[in-house]
Amino acid sequence: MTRLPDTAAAPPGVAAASTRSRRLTVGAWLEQERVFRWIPLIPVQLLLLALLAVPFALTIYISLLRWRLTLGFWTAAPFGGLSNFVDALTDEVFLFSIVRTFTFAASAVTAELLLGFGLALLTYKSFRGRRFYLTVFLIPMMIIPVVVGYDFSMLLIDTGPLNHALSRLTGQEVRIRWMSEYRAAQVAVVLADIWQWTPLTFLIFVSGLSALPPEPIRAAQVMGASRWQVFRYVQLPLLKPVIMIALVVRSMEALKIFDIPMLLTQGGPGNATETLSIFLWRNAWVFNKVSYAAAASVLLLVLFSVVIFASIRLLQRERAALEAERVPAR
Amino acid sequence: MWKGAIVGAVALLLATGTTAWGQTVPGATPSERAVNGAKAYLKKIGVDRLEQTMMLVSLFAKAQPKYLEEWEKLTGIKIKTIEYGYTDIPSKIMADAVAKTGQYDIYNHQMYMVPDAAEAGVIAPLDDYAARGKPSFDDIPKTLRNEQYYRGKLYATFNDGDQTVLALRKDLLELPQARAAFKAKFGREPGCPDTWKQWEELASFYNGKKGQNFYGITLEKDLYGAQEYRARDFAYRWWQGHYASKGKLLFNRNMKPLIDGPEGVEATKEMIGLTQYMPKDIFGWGTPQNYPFFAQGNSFSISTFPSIVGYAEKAPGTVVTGKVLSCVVPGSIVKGKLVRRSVQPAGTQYMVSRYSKHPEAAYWFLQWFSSPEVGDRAVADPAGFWDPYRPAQAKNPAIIAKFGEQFMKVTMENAKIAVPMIPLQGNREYFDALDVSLQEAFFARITAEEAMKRTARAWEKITDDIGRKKQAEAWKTVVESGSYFDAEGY
Repeated sequence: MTRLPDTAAAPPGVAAASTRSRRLTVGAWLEQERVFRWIPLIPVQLLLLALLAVPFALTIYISLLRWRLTLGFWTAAPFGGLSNFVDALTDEVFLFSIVRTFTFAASAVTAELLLGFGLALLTYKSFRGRRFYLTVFLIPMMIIPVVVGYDFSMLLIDTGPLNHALSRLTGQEVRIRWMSEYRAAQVAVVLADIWQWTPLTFLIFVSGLSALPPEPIRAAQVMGASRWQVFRYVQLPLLKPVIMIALVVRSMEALKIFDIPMLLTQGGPGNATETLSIFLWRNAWVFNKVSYAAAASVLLLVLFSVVIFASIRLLQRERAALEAERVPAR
Repeated sequence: MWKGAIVGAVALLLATGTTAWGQTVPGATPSERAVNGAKAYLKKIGVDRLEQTMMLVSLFAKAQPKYLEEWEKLTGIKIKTIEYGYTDIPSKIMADAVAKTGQYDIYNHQMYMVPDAAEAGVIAPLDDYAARGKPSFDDIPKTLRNEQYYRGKLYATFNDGDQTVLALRKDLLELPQARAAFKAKFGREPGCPDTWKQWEELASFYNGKKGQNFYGITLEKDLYGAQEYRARDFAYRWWQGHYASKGKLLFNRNMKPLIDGPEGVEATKEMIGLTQYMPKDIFGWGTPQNYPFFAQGNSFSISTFPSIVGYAEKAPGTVVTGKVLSCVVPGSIVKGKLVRRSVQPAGTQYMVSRYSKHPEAAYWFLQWFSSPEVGDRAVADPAGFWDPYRPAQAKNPAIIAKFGEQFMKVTMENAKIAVPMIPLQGNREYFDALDVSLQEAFFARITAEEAMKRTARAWEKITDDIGRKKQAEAWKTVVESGSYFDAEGY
């Protein structure tokens, strides 16, 4: 069979010119800065995509099976369609663990933000011994959560130092059962988390406060604003993006909490401190219900995505508002 | 030439004791047969040394190695161990069911692990090996023996009678004024209780505050009437002892739970009733907290694992040496008869991995270690945590020296009346559903009736999820094997 040349359809000379111009176009396109900037990232992006996509696809697939570890490998599991999702959405234990986790995250993160902010306000300006305080405040964050959990279990035992200190403070015997009473156990987990992660919010706020532009603050002071007014009307609005970052970062971490409640109470008493991570772990590795745990985790992914996207939108709005303020009036 | 080859092959088979025809391995005792079986196996595969791996409960890290060394000297099979906490092992075994690594030859865990592991196909049935090795199980109390089996197949051997026991403070029972006051109040002499109600009466009586004059003695610390496990992952085990004594099965033949009937509610109420005489921290306590609390003289009675007796005698800081009275577990009056049921809340056993390269070699170790000759030595081992379970052990001087005669008598009685913990697939899910409901009831967040209803609903769901027919078949095997004696409701 005779193969026609590529240029057969075009008049001589025209084809060659068009190829040349196409080459030029591609060259020119490649030379564009925005294109040149992301081309080197393609291999890494592909690798990341593979690393994320494969397990994610597998999770989705497994969530559609009825796989228990007692069936052996997952290829032996029957197809269950959306039944795991239906089970999860009608499972009181799962739904309560969502409520519990969000309640925990809300209380812990609020306290961490307030405490971190307070400490940052006290220490962001230069003073004697500042370095020492900064170092001391950051230590809890450096400790492995497992160790924190264990330390707190030692601190919070019935006859432990915390009850002893409270007894000394109040002048009467305090016997709070931190790890064996419903409310107390929940408070204990929140306390441990606050102790460990306030340093992170503190660090974010110290950085934020130190980086604030001095001009608006000085201008406000010159105009006779009080300390409170400077803080309320100048510093706080400027810090909004930083606060949002601290809020988002800590919320995402707090929603995943596992080690501290696991070590302190194993999720008990009853289900009092069973967070979502413990729920998932228990179902996958204690009850062997891997498909069910996968379905629950997919539902959580959807839920967390909503929260994260809402947070990102908020951040973007804050940034846009700030940008708008910076545009000089014409 | 052919004739010579055949004669040679037969001679070799007979000499090694290996059995294409399933004949018994030579040897006068189970342990001797195990050693011979192991040697013959090595010969068969053409090696004189072999290395195997055991996933070991860390509790036995100190005591197990000496027996492994002895096994190596006897057979040439070296077994190295990888230790984990007993709470971590189930998930590791199940992970192996998926990964099929063959990294482990032997799994060491507890009796309730057998159903899930067997269903997952991660452990090997041992019947063929046992048919040749002739292990000695006959003298083990029937219900304990049954726990080595699942759906009629042998999957594990065990060497640890961990059936519950009740321990009382003998010194407090012997207070003359207290005895008289107790008799005046309850119309009987204080001592080992027959029923759960009687235990609660004892707990309510032997209870006092620090500094109080308690029938002639001044209490140096608060005295609590009772200890029994109430923490999550523990309470459900003790509940099964209460419930089993009501003479009712956990499920009927169709796997419908029977626990939401009067028997289940009564068992739950008994536990709630006893809780008021316990330290408030009991809800967060496992064994490491319960044992010292009793040994340090803080409570009058404890229902726990049998090792409490030895612990209370010798633990550092103990104040109750020589003051502990072991009791057969209390029971319930069913149709005018006293029914007592201890429960086997743990019980260390050994299983062979299906993915082991040499499952037969692993089996021979199991038979050797759980044989009366070696197993009794392990039970008597001061460094070990293996508890007595064979009736003959009650006459073994070394074991008596370790545990004491009074305890031995009692624990043998408890072994005879021991029941298993739901020997079905998914048992840990059944347990947890019960556990969480019990916790809610202990904290008075729901009634005992509601706790049982919730548990029954959860159990129905679990059964449906696993497969009712499959579970019903397995349950039939359990009931027919007599694991729950003559309990009704099937």
